[in-house]
Amino acid sequence: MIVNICSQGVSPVAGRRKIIFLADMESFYASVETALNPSLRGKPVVVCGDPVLRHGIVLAASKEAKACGIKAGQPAWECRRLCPGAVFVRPHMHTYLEYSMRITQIFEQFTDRVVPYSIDEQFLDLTGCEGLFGAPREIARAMIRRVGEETGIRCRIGLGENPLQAKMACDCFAKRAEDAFFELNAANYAAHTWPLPIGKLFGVGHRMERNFHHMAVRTIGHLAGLPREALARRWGVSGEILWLNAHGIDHSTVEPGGAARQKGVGHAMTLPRDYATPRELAVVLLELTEEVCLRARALGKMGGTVHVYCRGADFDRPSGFSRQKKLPEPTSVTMDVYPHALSLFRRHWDGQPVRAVGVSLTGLTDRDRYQLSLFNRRAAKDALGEAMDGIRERFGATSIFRAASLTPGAQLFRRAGMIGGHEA
Amino acid sequence: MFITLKKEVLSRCLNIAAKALPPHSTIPVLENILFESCDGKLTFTTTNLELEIKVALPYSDTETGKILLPRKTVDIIHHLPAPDVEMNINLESLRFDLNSGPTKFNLYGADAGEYPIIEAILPAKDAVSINRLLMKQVLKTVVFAASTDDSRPAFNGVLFLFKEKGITLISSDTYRLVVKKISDERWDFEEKKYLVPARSLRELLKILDEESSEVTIFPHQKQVAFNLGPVYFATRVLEEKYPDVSGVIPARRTTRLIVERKLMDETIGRAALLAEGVNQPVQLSAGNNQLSVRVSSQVGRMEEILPVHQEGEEIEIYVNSRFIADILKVVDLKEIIIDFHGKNGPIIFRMIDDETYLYLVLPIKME
Repeated sequence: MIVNICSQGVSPVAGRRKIIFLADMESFYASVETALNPSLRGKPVVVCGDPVLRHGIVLAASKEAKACGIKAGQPAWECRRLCPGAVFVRPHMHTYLEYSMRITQIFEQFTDRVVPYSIDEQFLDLTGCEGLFGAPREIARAMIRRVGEETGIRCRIGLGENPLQAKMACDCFAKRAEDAFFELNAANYAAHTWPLPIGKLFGVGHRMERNFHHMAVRTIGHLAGLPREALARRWGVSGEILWLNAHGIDHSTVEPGGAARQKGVGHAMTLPRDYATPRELAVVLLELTEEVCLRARALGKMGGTVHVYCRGADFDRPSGFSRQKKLPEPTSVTMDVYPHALSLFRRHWDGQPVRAVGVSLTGLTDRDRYQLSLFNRRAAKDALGEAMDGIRERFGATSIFRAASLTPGAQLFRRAGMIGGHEA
Repeated sequence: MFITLKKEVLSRCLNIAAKALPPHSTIPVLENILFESCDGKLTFTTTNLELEIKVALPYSDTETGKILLPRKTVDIIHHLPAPDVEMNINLESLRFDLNSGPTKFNLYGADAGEYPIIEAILPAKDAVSINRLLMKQVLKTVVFAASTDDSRPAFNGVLFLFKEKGITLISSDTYRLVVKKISDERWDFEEKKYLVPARSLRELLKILDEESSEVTIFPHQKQVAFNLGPVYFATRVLEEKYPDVSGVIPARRTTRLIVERKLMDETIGRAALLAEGVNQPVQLSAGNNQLSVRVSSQVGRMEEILPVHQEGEEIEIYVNSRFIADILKVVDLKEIIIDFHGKNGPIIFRMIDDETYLYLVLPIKME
């Protein structure tokens, strides 16, 4: 363990410390809205879906709105109560994606190792770039300035010797720092992070926080002081990882392309109202299956396992399930996957009204190499799927659809205008 | 009831009977062995409701009765020290004692009244006797290709097709197919199909000894029985529709190779070490009387060249290495024929001088 700590941040090959950044965009959706509509500047801006269709949840809030106590995830009515003057803006997911990609492009002018972590966070590896752009602090300053100038968004950067330290530096310090920059390293990690409450540690959620409180672990330092074996015994590998996090140890690297090795494709949606009839549910399930298969086909993949997720409508008695089934052979043909998704649903659904459903396809393999089968007219089915995808690509998502999408319960036409379940 | 038997004989009987003992059953009584004594013989019966096995031993001088023996009896007998075993069964108290040399076991049996009664099969019209050695070889080269995946139940079976002077056995897991025909001039069957669970046939293979006596097959609507003299082996048939396979076998080949079986088996064994993923692909390419087997994976690559006798075009094809290894392991011939039917066409393995057998494998399509 001591060896671990000492070797921390030192690449065994190059024998030098890595320079890892985590860049985080301040109130990203709200900042984009403000950038596009300067009249919003200085006002409490809240990005929020349509409460009528149950999307009335705060997705982002500007600095000014946060000052009133508004947080992401709150329902719209609560915002109105907290901040009567708040300006509500509907989400524009497509624009946010564009901004996110523009920011990636800016970062790519500094290093080729940029890995988007979420829509508003990106990891960057700048090891070896000091000769070109100066000390890490200089590079960060230049990045923050360029992002600000080109997009109008304030970006904060955490520096570490590994992704974990960078993330902690950004989340716990850079966000509050005057110059939006903070550095953590093996030498100062303990001094800065150990006094912080345990909930601030990366990887500790509400439930883990409560568990730790029961163990009288209230700060990151308390956790770091426990024996590693105790954590491993209680929570296995994930316990050990938290212990390593508390010590600032992380062996992962920032490698672009890592995200490209996708394990699965999935879609889940919160229904606009609770569905209670098997017919309506079968229709959304078909639409979700089609969407998932379409995405798999677009990636040139097919799935070996189908997974169905369902959440009951009753908040007081949480119900629902999440079950999977291995397909007889890997496929991305909608009508080959659908019977299995439907049978999973029928087997596990308790008959109660449903609030959200999801379908995903995992165990992805390449679609252009597959074991031929004797009694499956696969070539014809694949050709049909491809033809439908081609029509959709050229004429839009609703240019060709299954007749079921015209029956009650169908969501295709409503969802066609959305990205990630929010308005595009 | 007092019985003395050779340990070896008793152990062999119980081992055979144990093949139909369900590991866990919703009907607890099935986890026992039914022991009966009547008409001058002792019988041991087990069933998992799909497969039923009855082993008989001639034994005179004993009373009539039956009792359920717990499954542990199989292991107990196996571990007894002396060559002779004395069984003392009390049908009243349902106790039975085993004495062997210095060892005594006092065991609790159970009442046989609860045990499901399996109706004896009437002699079938199409009962047919086949040499055991032949039967064993046939099953060995057919059963392996049946599917073990329960998602398509029809392919868990081996189709027995009785027609005129022959019985055709067909097995497939949808990626490969075996067709084997046995015929005899004396036979004359009405056309009938029976889908026999491959699970049961795998057990049958284990107990078919290679004596040159005969095995008699009694095919019935719902059950097919195999009579091996002292062992009666009956299995339920699967009530699934089996697809027509006749259209799958191509008429014209593009390439024929004659390969030394053992050599190829070893080569594929080495290649399989690198073949990865579900499909475990290896590349076969033939030209100039040479067959090269290549694999490339994330770990690295391998190549091996085999001398072969080649007729027809050059060919390059990807195929699951396990599918090749399976056939090369079950046949016992010096050489084997491999027919190719173009780039994405099936590969058919045949035996030299034997038109009655074929093993068809579909390749992996690479676009």
